[in-house]
Amino acid sequence: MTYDPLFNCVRALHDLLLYIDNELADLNERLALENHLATCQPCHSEMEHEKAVVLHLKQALSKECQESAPSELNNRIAEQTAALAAQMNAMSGPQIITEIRTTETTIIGDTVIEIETHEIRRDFPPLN
Amino acid sequence: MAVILGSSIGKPSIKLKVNLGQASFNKRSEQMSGEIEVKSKAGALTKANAADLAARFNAEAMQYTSQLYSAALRYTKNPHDAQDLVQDTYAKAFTSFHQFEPGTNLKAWLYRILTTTFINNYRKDQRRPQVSDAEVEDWQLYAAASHTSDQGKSAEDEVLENLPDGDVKKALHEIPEEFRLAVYYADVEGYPYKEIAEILNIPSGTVMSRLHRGRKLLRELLADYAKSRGIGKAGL
Repeated sequence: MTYDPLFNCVRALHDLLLYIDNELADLNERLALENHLATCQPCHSEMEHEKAVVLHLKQALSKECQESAPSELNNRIAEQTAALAAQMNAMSGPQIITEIRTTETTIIGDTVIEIETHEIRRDFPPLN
Repeated sequence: MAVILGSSIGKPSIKLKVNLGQASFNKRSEQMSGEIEVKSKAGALTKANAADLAARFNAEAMQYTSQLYSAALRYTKNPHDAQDLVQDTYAKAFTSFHQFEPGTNLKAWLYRILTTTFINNYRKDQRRPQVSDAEVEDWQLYAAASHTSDQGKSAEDEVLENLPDGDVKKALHEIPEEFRLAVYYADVEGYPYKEIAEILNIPSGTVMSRLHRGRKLLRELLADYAKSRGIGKAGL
């Protein structure tokens, strides 16, 4: 691997965030980073620290943020699915389908942001 | 009762009226105006297959209620709304289940419906979070990169090693929604950026900036909590 003077610490500190997440897909970019880390102690230590912190956060988040669905919710969904299936069976004649397209335009300074929303709804008879 | 069969929020297209003089901004705006995939073909459903569909739906989709519920808690931040959100999500999922392509990722498909259901029905402020802000953050993240001091590192290690139960969940709920969801899908669900981009209907580059900004905010909050208990005062 040849020395790349354009690959500096700023670039390495950015790329290592992706590297930790397995998101630095390009082989050359990975090699350039690994090469830099092998020769730059501050970046190498930054990488080890980031890796440890992200792992720690993942463990803590996974421990605390994986709640179980209450059985009441499972029951509600099961009943709802059965009711919707019964309605589908009972349905005859034409179905009402509504298509909604909206465009939201935001202007901030010299930037124009357009967000298009597209939605299709089908009307069902009311649930009993 | 109206059920949303298919819905999509297009990727925001950003038009720059003036040249900002930053290569990264121009490049980003090209990515932002990418193709919008709209899955909205309404298939016909006959009487005969409604029962089969329900049986298949129960067998395949019901195993994910806990995961959907815990994701929903990150959107609504309260159990009552989270339950309603999951129930609505399952209603929409069932009525468009015939459009689901077997063999593709059902859980991610449910998460996409969860996201659009939340945006359409639950978000109190109906405006989308400002995507342009996250794009700016990406540039700031890049420009502000610097090595952390050894004191800073050991102070943070101390904070994380002494993390009391409940702190990380509290911190996650304190950070803004767009960052919270990116962190949740990456760090709890373990999804790659591309999958998160599809679930949240935002570009991959935005996932990256929101995730890193989100983790940074989380770490700052955890340090603040610890500091108030007298831990990790050495730096930060």
